[in-house]
Amino acid sequence: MLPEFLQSPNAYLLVKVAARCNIDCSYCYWFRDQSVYAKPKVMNAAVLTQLLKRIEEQIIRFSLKEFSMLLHGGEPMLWGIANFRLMAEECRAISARTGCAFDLAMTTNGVLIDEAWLDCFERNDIHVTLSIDGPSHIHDIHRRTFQGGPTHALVEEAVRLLQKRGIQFGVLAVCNPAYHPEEFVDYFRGMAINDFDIMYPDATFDENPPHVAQFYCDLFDLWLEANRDKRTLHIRSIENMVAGLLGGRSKSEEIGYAPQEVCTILTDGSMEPLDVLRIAGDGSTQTTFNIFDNTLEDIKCEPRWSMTREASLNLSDKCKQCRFLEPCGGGYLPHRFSKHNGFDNPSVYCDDLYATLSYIQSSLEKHVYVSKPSGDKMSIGEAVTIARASRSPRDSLTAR
Amino acid sequence: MPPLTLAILASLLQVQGADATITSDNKGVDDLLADIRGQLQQVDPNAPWVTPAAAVSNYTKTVHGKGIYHKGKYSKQEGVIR
Repeated sequence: MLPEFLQSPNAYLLVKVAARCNIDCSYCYWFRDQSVYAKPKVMNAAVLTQLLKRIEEQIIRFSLKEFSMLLHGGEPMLWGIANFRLMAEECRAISARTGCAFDLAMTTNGVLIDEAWLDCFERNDIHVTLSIDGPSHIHDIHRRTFQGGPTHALVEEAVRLLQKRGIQFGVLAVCNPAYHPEEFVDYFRGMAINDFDIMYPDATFDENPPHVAQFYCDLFDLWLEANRDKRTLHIRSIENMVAGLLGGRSKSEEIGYAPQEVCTILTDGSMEPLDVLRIAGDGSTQTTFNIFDNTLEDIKCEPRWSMTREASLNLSDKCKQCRFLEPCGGGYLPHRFSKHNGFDNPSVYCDDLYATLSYIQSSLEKHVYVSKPSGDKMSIGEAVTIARASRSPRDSLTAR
Repeated sequence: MPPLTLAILASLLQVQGADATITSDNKGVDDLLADIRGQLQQVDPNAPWVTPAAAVSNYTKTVHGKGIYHKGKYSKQEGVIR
């Protein structure tokens, strides 16, 4: 019998509708692999038509009720407003034929957003996520134009336009541990942005990025305080760590033990594994599969995609012995890559992840209880100790 | 205390009695627990507290990545970034 994942439909695609960008961020993973310059600048009509054909095949074959696409780049808005409208129209036509709903989303640097684009987002129900690295003095360190100019004011204008129109959006930042996270949180909250994430800077195991543990411990404290009496602040990475430590599952690929199964479609129709793996160097995600010769399901038989999935599940010996194996999962797969060992490493941020998870765990012990309707409550640590004592030695052989 | 798992939570609730619940005095943490409380009803409280390696081995065989989101897709339905 085939493994479950081979029988499961692929209902999510990362679609690179543009392979170039209109700004020049110093930390960008995409252009660390020079082979992106060999790809067409934007997706053409023939590739889009074939992609939609493959998606409809997939929907019919598996009777899918929902299909999600994240439109990405480079900068996806370089694809042009007409192409966004066309794609959305075609998706609606597929929905009408199949009954499958489409969930279209886009991650953008925001500098091209204007009223016409807002009309496009609204009319076509395209969900928007903006990249903003907090206040201008942090954002403009890395996120600059090709002429070296700042971009923060342009993105801030996009925020105002979206908010004026009442369009909800998400925000992604990249951590800069040289600054206190309060600067990020205060800035976002001052802009009425209460739902965002601050991601680890991308780095392979061969690099030596600055430590981020203190940043994330402080960020957790800010999240905890903001949500003390009322849920007013969502920070994705923090919430995924908390959920993982409480026995739940992370909903992000960046933390938590789970298989890496993203299929990336490039501007020429090539099919590749996770795009961020390009930080491993030139051609590191290259395959011979494409949507003209292959179905979307074929990616599961592609050697590099399969190797990526296996690597995401087969953790290093250090991870296998770690008490945080499940909530951490070795961190983000690209951060485990080294030229010498491939992915057989812990994360380059292993010490930071361990310190952050330990800190959050100790805080949760003070805030989580077993409660009774009578009002009696017992700390979670004490309840675990009692439960462990009640079990047979064989059943409680957890090392965690 | 070890990082919690659904099996650990289910078994400690069994010990504490049917009316016991896992709660937090912090609204943010309690909101995240709400999702977990919902899942607990489907967990066998007598399931072994397996080692991480055993849990991983089982997970590798059975689970695929559905529900794992890539780099921040804003979810209008949930009103949050996933």
